[in-house]
Amino acid sequence: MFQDLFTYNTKEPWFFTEYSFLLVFGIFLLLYALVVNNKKWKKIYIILFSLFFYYKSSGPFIGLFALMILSDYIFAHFIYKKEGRVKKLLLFLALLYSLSFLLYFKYSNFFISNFNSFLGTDFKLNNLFLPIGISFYTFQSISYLMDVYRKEIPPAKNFTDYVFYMTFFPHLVAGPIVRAKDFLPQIEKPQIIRLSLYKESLLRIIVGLLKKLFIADYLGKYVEIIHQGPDGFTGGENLLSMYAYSFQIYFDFSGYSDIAIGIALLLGYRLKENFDNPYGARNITSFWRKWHISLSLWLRDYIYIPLGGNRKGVFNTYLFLFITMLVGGLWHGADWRFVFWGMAHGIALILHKGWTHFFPKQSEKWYYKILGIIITFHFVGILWIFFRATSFESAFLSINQIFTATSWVDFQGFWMTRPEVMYLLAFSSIIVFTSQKWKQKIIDKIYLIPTFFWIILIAIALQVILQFKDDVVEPFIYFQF
Amino acid sequence: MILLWSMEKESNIISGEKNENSNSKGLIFWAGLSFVIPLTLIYFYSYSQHKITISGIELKKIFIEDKQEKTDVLSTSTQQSEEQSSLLHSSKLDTIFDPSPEQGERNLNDIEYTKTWDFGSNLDTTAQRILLMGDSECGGLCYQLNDYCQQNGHKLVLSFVWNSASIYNFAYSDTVNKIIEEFKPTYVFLVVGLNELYSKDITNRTSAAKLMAEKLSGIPYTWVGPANFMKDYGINNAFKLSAQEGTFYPTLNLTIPKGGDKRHPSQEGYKIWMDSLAVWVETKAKYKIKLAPPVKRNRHYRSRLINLNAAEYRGY
Repeated sequence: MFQDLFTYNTKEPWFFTEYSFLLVFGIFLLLYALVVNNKKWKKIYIILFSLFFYYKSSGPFIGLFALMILSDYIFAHFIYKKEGRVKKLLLFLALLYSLSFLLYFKYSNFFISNFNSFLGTDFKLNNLFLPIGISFYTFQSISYLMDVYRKEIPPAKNFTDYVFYMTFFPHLVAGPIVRAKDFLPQIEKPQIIRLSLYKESLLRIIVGLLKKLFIADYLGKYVEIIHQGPDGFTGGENLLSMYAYSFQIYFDFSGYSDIAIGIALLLGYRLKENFDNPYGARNITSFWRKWHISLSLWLRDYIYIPLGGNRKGVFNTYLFLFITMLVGGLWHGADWRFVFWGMAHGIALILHKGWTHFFPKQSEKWYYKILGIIITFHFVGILWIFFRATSFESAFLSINQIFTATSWVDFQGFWMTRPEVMYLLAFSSIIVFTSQKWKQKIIDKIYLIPTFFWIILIAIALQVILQFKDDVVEPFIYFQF
Repeated sequence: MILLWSMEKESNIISGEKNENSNSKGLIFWAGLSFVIPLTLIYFYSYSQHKITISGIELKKIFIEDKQEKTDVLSTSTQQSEEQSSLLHSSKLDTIFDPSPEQGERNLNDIEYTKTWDFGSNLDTTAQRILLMGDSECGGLCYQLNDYCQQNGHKLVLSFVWNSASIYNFAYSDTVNKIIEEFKPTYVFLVVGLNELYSKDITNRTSAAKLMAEKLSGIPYTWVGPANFMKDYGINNAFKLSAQEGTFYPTLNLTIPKGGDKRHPSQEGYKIWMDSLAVWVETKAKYKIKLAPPVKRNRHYRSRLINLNAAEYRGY
């Protein structure tokens, strides 16, 4: 067992949900207590653990990651010092270098297969393994280079600081996408770990684990069955699968973000929130302000605004919005389904922008709010089908079943055969649609639990998860992006 | 000591005695212990032979134990089935056997198990040890087959219902081998295909079907195709070509009433299906066994039933 702990296993990469990780993290914290008040050793200690974590997650790709960090660091210093064309050229080279890894590993096969199908050629596809977290750390690298270029931040003071920022393990493999300007200042002045912070971080970790292992993984099993052959299931079953996947992807990714934020907090660093009750959004614009916030902001600041934002007329504003969402879709995966998903969201954002142009006043009546939430949730849910389905054909089959083969009888049959899925869907709905205010009230009550009992709380949570979880934990959905 | 130390540190922070600009080492240490202690206990428990039960619920173990349990989805049943097996070979079981009127009381221990059974073209009227396995459709068919078995003196040794399973599950796992080894059937009914009627990757599934047919070679069997509730893209034909000649029953040609979920047959549908299958097995199958229609229907189910879900258990 201990030998396995220090070697990389392709079949069992480390996730936050692995109990072996949580145990090692606990031991890491015990030793962290010894160096926490020594800035230098604290940094080195966290960097070493982060590199070890990445090695356990991605093995040999740690070398590739190191190359990117080194090049960014060097380029950023030159970009900051130079002016004019040289500066632009340096930025271009730096971005190209950073992006080249992502383009090669994630998109080369996509380009080759499309090239082959359009031109009838027969170029062989590469046998590639996508390094875990590459989409996230590439975007972080780009944000750092761009911010330095715009002189919004100076380059990292020293190499250690930059390595610390890039490798910080809580956000390393699946976000949130952390900006250098938000994080670098924290390296020098982290938060002081106090009782409130301790409780907040542990609660985030527990909630994150429950979201992922208890809800998302269970719903995922049902979704998988339906997507093996959507036309073999009734419209009702497909509709419930749409709901199940909408909840699954939310609990999976927000659960991961909760764990990441909780772990970072325990170390004294606050990562920005990545979700803000997204399914409670009244319209699609609001949804994108609440869903995967770090990505939305990244797309806004590094694609939409550089393209021209809303400064170049109405038509161009819509066009830039569309392009931004297209890139967002492609970021999620090298497949036309993701491109379509991004485009559909882009069109919806344009339509909503147009709507607000003509009807700028939003009604505050409760039934309009509810109607808005229902419409937005279902629109997002239908597009999630393209996200989850194995092909366009399968996605359209599922949607076709929902619209043409749904009847009340299906739900009665479903209730008889899969009551546990119905319970979980109802439970998920309550969590997702309850306002943050109410959730906060419950959280405040939990904070009243004395410190000593938190260890028992964690023990109960871990055992409850074990009782219910499948023995094979599905990787976080966003690991693949 | 550690506990007291950490709590003292904590109280210091709360009371403001500690410097506000430095972290509480005690609190971080306590946070570390909050993970290490529960997880160490869970690990120790997982590696121990003991099992803890609270209010009738056994605490689950992790990792290696988990993996064992994963294999044990079958092994657990195998454990139970050992008891079952011992029952099968005891006279105790025979006494509950409800013989068919014309056959009189028969001892199930006499039912021979051989893998080189030669049926020829004649109807074998001897009692069989029947294994029914397949996807969720088995879950309904098993009750009808149970009636037939009790009527004809056969023993339904196991109904193995692998929900949502496809031919891949059956072919590329050794689950079937284990079951055959454990339950020693003399006749097998395989019902599969419902979850792959829509499939278009027929080539891959044909390979799997051939492998499955190889697994069954040596044991008389009937391969039952799925109900025709969806468009068939060729899976029935793939199964037919893969199975031995005269062993594939094409349900495709039968009109079966759908059940409430529109995906499985209704109770009446299962009855129609089994009746038709029985006639085919008695008259047209390569391996013909006696399957006269039951005088009494809906008898008490007397066999072992294993229910698995392909999403949770893919097979080993």
